[in-house]
Amino acid sequence: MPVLLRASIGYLSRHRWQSALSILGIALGVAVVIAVEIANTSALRAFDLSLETVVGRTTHQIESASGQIADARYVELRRHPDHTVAAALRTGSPVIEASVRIAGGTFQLLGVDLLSLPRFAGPSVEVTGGDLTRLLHESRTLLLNAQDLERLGIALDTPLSLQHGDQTQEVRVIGAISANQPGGLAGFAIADIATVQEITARPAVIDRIDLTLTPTAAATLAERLPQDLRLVAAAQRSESLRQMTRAFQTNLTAMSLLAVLVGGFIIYNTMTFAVVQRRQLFGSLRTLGATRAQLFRLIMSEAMLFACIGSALGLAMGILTGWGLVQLVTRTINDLYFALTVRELIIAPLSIVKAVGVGLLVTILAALGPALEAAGAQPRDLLREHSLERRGQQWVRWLGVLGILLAASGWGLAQIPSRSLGLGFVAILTLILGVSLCVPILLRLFAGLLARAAAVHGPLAAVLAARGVASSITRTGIAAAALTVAISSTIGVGVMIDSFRNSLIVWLDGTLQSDLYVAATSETGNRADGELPAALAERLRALDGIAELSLARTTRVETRAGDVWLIGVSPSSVTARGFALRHGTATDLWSRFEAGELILASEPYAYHQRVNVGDHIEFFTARGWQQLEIGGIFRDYGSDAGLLAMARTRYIELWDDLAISSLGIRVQEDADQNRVFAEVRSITEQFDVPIQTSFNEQIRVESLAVFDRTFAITQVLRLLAVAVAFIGVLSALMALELERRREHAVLRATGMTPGELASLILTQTSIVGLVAGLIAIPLGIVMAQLLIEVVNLRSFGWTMEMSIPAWPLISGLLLAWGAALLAGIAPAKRAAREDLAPALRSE
Amino acid sequence: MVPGTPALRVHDVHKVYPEGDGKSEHRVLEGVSFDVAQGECVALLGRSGSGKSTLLNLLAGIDRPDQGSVEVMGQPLRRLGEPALTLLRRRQIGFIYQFFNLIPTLSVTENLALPLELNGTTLRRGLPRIHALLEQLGLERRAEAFPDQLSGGEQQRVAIGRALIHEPALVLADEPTGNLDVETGEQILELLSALFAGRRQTLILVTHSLTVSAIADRVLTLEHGRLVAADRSLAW
Ligand SMILES: Nc1ncnc2c1ncn2[C@@H]1O[C@H](COP(=O)(O)OP(=O)(O)OP(=O)(O)O)[C@@H](O)[C@H]1O
Ligand SMILES: [Mg+2]
Repeated sequence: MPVLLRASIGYLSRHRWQSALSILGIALGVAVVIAVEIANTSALRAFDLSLETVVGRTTHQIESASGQIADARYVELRRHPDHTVAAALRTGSPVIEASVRIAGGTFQLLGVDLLSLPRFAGPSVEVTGGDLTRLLHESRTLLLNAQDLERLGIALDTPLSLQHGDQTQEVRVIGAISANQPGGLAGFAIADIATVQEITARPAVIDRIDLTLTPTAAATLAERLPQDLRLVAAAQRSESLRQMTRAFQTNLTAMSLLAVLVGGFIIYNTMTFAVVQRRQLFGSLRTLGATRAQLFRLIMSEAMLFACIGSALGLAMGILTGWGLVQLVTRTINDLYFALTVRELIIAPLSIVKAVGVGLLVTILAALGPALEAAGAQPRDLLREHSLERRGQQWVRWLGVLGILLAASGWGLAQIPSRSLGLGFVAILTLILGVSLCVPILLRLFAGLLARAAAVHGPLAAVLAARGVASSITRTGIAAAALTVAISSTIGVGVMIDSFRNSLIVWLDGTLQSDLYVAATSETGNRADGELPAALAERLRALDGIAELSLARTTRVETRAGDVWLIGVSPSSVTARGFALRHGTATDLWSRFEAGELILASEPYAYHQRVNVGDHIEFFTARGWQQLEIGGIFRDYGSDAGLLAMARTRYIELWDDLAISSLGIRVQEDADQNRVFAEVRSITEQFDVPIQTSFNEQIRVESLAVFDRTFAITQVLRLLAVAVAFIGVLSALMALELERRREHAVLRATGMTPGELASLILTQTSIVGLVAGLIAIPLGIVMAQLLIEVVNLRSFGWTMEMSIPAWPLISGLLLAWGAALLAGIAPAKRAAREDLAPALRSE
Repeated sequence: MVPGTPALRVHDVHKVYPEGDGKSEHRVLEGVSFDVAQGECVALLGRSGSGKSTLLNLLAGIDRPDQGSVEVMGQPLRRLGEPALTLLRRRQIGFIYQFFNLIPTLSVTENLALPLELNGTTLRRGLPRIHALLEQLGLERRAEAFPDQLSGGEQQRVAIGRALIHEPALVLADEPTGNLDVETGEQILELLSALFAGRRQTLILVTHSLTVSAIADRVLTLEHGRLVAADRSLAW
């Protein structure tokens, strides 16, 4: 049917603007999906690579309860009288790790037994430009991957500064290591064990021993290891690490789905418009004998054409955006979880399939309705003007009914006491979709009321504007619905972040009871789990002006349910205030806590492990497995991984670990904090260890900065959603303007000035924007509530107080209005500039 | 306005439309000149495609000629900017379209109020005038109806009302009966001539039908882009 096709192509090229917008709409939807996919898979892949490299051919690892093993114990094990133990030990290598920055890049510094290098780098490890034995004989020498050397412009054998914690040291790279395995050791710095011990100031200790064992050898070894050592399967460890970022990634995916929803509105609007515009043409074609199937095929192939071009464009845009997004994602992972560098963008075929699939599917679904309608209608109906708009007017009511049902079931889904994050998101999306379907009828009601009021008191222009909105509800309603979705999610996420931030501030105020904090810095995650020198506490206690010292030890310990962070706190006058406890604690909590009978669990821990006050947790300690009872649940926004707290005395008893990770100092009322700070500083500097001293306020500020960084990506996605909605409003208004072209020309011919006509159009778009904004406010608040009570709880285990600040609401309303006004400018300008004669001629 | 100034003065007007891909052109008007005195009623005849609507658009300032000049009530349109042209249309010109072109979202009353309001008279103050005119048009019982609830003849009567309500000096009607059955068309014409009787308004009426031209003082015929026998009065 070449003539039919020609008619269609002629139409599309004559409505270039409209076609461009719809392609842009599809492209934006696809771009957001692919960008988030790329960011997620790239981060995940980088993470897997670094895990793979660290794990290498390792099947099992020996760990100690305290998290580190003395050199001497390793030697002891290798010389173990039991033959099987000694043999097992010979399959592996001791390992010590740290996160460092070299020449602006983040690296995992790995101290290994150089004879066992092939475990990590693969069997045919190659070192170019250097002599491996120099690693042993010269201090502070390392190997880097050739790619990293090139990327960061590092020259061999020149002094470089390496940052560990807040300590800067000089190192030299003596050779490039290349490994024949995926990732090629990118992001790793390899050194001798002694070098890493020196750099990290942890003399004579290692982190773990990596082994390659058969299952039987592993079983035997596990039995014969001393009580404070433990054999862990490598796979199990990686899995628990991988688990940590999962919730975070789910959130990102949900944001991209929202963008798809908004993108869907645009595509729908485009397709209906492209069909509605040509009803007369289709009617004529049908009377001339074109079959329904032919018409249907014509419309659907147009849709496919749009979808293909849009998807291709979207892929390109998404890949460009993906790189920026990856940086944001890694930054958050670095802040919250572990050091990670992403070097390559992973564009997985599956991601492309997903994104393009979404683009095609939504386009086809959106086109299906109008195509069926046009193909199914009688030619007579097609020729009659306004008949679709009239049908649309009735549809609006049914949409509203459907919307109410959907919204109610979304709300209901959210009330199901489930732990499924997926279900939570489905609930929110259903609710949003439901409310958005009610937007057209609400807009019509509002515009109707406005028109009635204006007919009595106002100028005709206001009547025209309000009735125009109501009578073109299929256009204006879609624009408003798209805007409502975008703005309500902006408000919802905004209120959620605000509530979260406020809760965080309250929590920090409560938790940070000391004036100064001294901590051993480590770059992995945000926990101070390094070690302070033993003598430090005594030296500080002797200082003038110090009221009280509280000591804490943070380490990872083993429980039956897996690894967990544990903090051992020494009792002080403010311990009780330092924990924001939830209601319902054990009786005599504090005295029994200090006596070591009870422990505390953080909210995320309690939620994820499904434990509560009165439950017991079994720990793997230096005294074997030991049970302790939970006496209270405390808020902890410090991590979503879970944290347990116990009295330090009890911790020392169980783990024989006298080390301190951090110190809280309360300064006497009359003492000068700055002076004490300076004195503390001068003492810590005498130790050759990276130690950080901070004011209470600095920690607060830094924590909030980390918080803000974490949500930076959310802000970016919100902006994208608004941008997509903006395109939607723009294309709906352009469509409206084309439909009203003749009417506007009549108004102009009757004597309306271009300015008056433009302001009439801007009034209409303002009505659309304001109504969308007004509906978005309550929807946004409900969404915030669900995000807090369902999503945050289910993904992180955090509860928080909801606070509804005025600003996100007002800014949401302004944003809706602004977006609508802005989108109205182009159509208004066009209408005002339109040549009257052709517009009046047009049918 | 100085009495005696012609309501319309058209001199050597040319209009060319580009055609197809813009390479060839279609000369629609090739040097049209005529004057119309105030209060005169002129019928414009010509075959379909002869450029009648094009000419009318030039007279209303809706379109601009490629060459030549048009003066409405002594004002040369060429020298008027868009704002001034809009003001001229608003105050001095009423246009009756072949396809009614009523504003679908405004009721009959409101459609009539539109030109009044654009000229600074609110709906409320204009209401007596609107009612009077509606009565003359025989539409007093359809005042609150919307255009899509009216028949073709009713819509055309509203369109006539809208072109006359603000008492413009020049009324341009483009085949006001072309879209109606013969009988209704005749009724509309009778109405038009009744409305114009005793007024000092100028009317240019485009039509195909000789009967229509019967009510005119003068008949102009367009052919091949020019007026033929422009001053031939049809005395019946
Ligand atoms: N915007 C335009 N672009 C190209 N050609 C045009 C345009 N407007 C009018 N024409 C052409 O100019 C010629 C005159 O058109 P016009 O509408 O003035 O005729 P008419 O005398 O009013 O005809 P009818 O009696 O059928 O209404 C026609 O051939 C038409 O195709
Ligand atoms: Mg015509």
